[in-house]
Amino acid sequence: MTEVLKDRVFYENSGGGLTLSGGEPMLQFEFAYELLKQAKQNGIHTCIETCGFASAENILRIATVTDIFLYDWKLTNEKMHQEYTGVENTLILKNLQQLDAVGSNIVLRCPIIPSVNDTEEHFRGIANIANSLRNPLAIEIEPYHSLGENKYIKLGKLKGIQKFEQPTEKQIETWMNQIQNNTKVTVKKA
Amino acid sequence: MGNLSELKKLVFESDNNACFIERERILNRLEKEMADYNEPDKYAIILSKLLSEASTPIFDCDYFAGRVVEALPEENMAAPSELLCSVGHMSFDYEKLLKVGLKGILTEIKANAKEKGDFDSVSFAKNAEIVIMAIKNYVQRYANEARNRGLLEMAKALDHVPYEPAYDFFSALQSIWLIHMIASCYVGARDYAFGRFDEYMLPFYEKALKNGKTESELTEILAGFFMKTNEICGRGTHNYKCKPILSQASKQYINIGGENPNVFSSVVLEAAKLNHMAQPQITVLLKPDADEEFTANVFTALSVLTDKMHIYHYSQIVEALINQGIEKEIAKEFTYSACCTFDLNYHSFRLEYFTPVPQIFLSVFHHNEYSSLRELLADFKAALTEEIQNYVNRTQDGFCEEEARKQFVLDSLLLSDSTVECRYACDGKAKYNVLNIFCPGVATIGDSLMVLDKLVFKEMRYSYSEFAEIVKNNYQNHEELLEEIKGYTMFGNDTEIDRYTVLAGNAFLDAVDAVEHRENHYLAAGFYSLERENVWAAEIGATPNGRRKGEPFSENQSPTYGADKNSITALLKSLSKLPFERTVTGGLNLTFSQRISPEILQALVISYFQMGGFHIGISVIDRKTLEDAMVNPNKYKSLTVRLYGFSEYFISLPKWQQIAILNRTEYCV
Repeated sequence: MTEVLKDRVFYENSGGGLTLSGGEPMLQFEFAYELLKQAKQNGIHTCIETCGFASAENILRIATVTDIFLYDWKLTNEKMHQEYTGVENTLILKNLQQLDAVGSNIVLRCPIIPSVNDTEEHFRGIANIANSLRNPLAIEIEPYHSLGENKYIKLGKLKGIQKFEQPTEKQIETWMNQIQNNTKVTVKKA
Repeated sequence: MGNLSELKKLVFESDNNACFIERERILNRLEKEMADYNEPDKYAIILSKLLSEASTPIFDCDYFAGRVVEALPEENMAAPSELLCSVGHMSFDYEKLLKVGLKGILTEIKANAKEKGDFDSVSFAKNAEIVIMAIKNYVQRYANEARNRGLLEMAKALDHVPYEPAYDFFSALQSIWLIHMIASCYVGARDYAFGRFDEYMLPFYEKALKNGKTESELTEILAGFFMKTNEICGRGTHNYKCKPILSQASKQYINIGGENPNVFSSVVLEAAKLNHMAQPQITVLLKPDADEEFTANVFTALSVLTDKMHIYHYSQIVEALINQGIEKEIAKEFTYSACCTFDLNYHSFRLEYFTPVPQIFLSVFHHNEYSSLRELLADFKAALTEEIQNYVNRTQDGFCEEEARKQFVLDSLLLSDSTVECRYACDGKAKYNVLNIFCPGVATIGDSLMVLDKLVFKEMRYSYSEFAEIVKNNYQNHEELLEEIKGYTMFGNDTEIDRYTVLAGNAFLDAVDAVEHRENHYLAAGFYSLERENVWAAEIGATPNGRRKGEPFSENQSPTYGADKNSITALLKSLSKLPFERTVTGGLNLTFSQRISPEILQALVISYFQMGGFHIGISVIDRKTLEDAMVNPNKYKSLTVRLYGFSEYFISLPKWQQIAILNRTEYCV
C-alpha cells in the first residue's frame, strides 16, 4: 500500500486510482481483496480487470471494495468460448449478473479478433448482455493487436501461437456500429 | 490574405544547400570595397548599403511582407559572410518597438547620448540613426511593392511600421517580423526570441476584436506569422551539412502564460496548432494552479503539438529568482530563449556555459583515495567552483571579446540597457548579465556515487584504489562486474537510490553558490546537457556507474539511458527529488510511444509540478516509425522529435543523434 500511496498526487489530479489488471487478479484473490480494501480505506478509487471466471463468493466479496469492474466478455457462443478459452462462459455470465444485482459499476470489455469473434451473433450477444444490465457504464471493444508477439518471442512461445490479421480503423468502426445499432449503452474503443 | 498550406509547402521544398544569395553577393563585394574604411560607423554603413540594395519580394501566399530570396551559393563564394554577424540568442524588447516604433527608440537614444555627451555615446546614436533610416527606406520599398500588388492593408502597415508605432494587430506582427527577419537573415544570427508575446500582443488582439475582426481570422493571421519563422532556417536544422546561412538551425521561442495568462495566450496555442511546424517553439510558463480554462487549453495543445511546445513550472522559478536576489518585477518577466536557456527577458545579456561536470568528477575520483563519499564530494564541489569561477572571471569584462569591441550592432536597438547606456551591452556592464551555468550528466554522477558507495565504502568488496583502477581500465577483464553494476537499480525508479543523484545535484548547485561574481552578474544554474552527453562521450573515460569510455552519459535531467525501468509516475517522482527549487534553467524530455490524451498529460505534468518538477517537453513517436524514417527519409519530411530544448526534423539529424533518440525510454500511458 505504501507503494500505491506514493502515486496519490497523480490519482488526485487525474481522477484516477488503483486498477488491478492482468494476468487475472482474481487468481490471487486474497491479495487483490486486501489491496483494494486498503486502497478504499485510504480514499483511493479502485478498479479491477477480470475475466469473471471466479467463485461467486469471491466475486461478491471483491465487489465490496471495487468501484468499477472492467469485465471481459470474450465470446457469446458457449462452444466457441470453451474452445478458445478452455472454460465455459456460464459461470462468467452468472457472476456478471450477480455483480449487476448488487449494483456494481460495470464496463463490458470485449476483445475482438478477426475471424474468431467478429461475428454478427457475437456483436448482438454483447449488445443483449449490456441491455440486460441495470446500469452498465459502457461497452469497450479491444481490437486485436500484435503487440504481444514480441513477448511471446522472448518467452520462446511464438511457435504454436495462432496469428491473426490486425484490423483496420474502418473495420473497427464497422464493428462498433454493429454493436451500437442494438444498444443504447455507449460503445467505445478501450 | 495569405495561404498557410502554400507557405508550408515552400518551406518543405526549400533547398537546404541554398543561402540568402543577395546578402552574400552584396556583403562579399562590400567587404572588398570597404576594406580600408575603419570609421566607427562602418557597421552601420554596411548594413544600410545592404538594405538599400536588397530586393523586396512579396509572394501571393504571404500574409506578411519580408522574405529573403535563396539560391545555391556560387563556387568559391564566402557564404555565409560574417561581416555583420551578431551573436543572437536573446529576446528583443518588441513591446517597446510596438509602442514607440524605431522612431521613438531613436529619440530616446539621441536624448541619452546628448546627455552623456561622450564620443562613444554620440557615435552610438549616429550609428543608430543610420541603421534606423536604412530600415525605414527598405520597408518603404516593400510598401510600394505591396501597393503595386493591390495589397492595401499590407501597404498601409508598411508605410508606418517598424519606424512608427504599430496601430493594429496586423501592423504589430508586421513590425516584429521585419525586425526579426533583418536581425536573423540580414545581420545574421541564430535564436532571437519573442519574449512574453501574449502580454504585449494582448492590447492589439483586443482592439482587433472590438473593430470587428473574428477570433478565427486573427488566429489565421497569427499562424501566418508563425509560419514565417520557419523561413528563417527552412528544414535545415542541426544536420551534417549546415545550411550556408548564419541563422541556420535558429530556434525561435514564443513565451506565454506566466503570472496572468490572458485570452490571447490561448489564441497563441490555437495558431500554433494551425502552424504545426518546428518553429516557433511554444514555451508555456505555467503555474500548477493557473486558470482552469487556460490549463486545459495548454494540455490540449500539447497533445497535438507534442515536441513543438514545452512547459516550465512558472511559480517555482519566480520563487527561485526572488530567493536569489532578483527584484520581483523583473523576476516575474523571465523568459526562455534558444535551447532551453534562461533569460531575464530583454533586460539582460546572456551567455551559457556547459560545465565539464563528468570530466571534473572523474579527475577528482582518480586524484585521491577517498575514505568516504563526503570527502570526495567536498573535493568535487571545490573543483567545480574553481572551474566555474575561472569561466566567470574570463567573461565578466566582456562576454565575447569580438562582440565587446563592437560599438554598435542592430541588436542594441532592442535591448533596454543598450538604449539607455548608448552602447552595445555585451561588455559585462549591463544591469543584468545572465550566465546560464549548466550541469550535464547529473544522473551519471549520482549513479556513480551510488556504485562507489556500495562496492567500496559499504560492502568493501574492493579497496578504493582497486575499484578506481578497474574504472580507469574501462572495466577491462571485469566484464562480470560491469554486468552486475548494469543490473543495479539506478536513478529514475523512485527508490532510495535517488538520493545519490540529489547529492550530486546539490554538490553542483553549492559549487555555483560559492562562485564570486559581480553584483550585476546573475548565475542561472540548472541541469542540462544539450548534446554534450554524446559530443563529450568519446573523451570521457569510464565512469563508476558501469559506463564505458565513449558511451553517452545521462541527458539533461534524465536518468541514464535505460535506467528508468518502472513507470512514468516513478520516473517523475524520482526527478522531483532533484533540487529544482534552486534552479532556473534546464530541461527534461519524455518520449511516449503513442498519443496521450490532454487529460492524462495534464494530470502527469500538474502532479509533477506539485511535487517540485521543473520542466517537461515530450515526443510522441514509436521506435518502428523512427527506424523506418532512417531508412526511408523522404517519407518523413515533416517528422519532428524533441531534441534537448527544441523540436527538430528527425531526418535532418546526423545518425548519432537519431540513435540517441532511439535510445530513449519509451513510455506508454
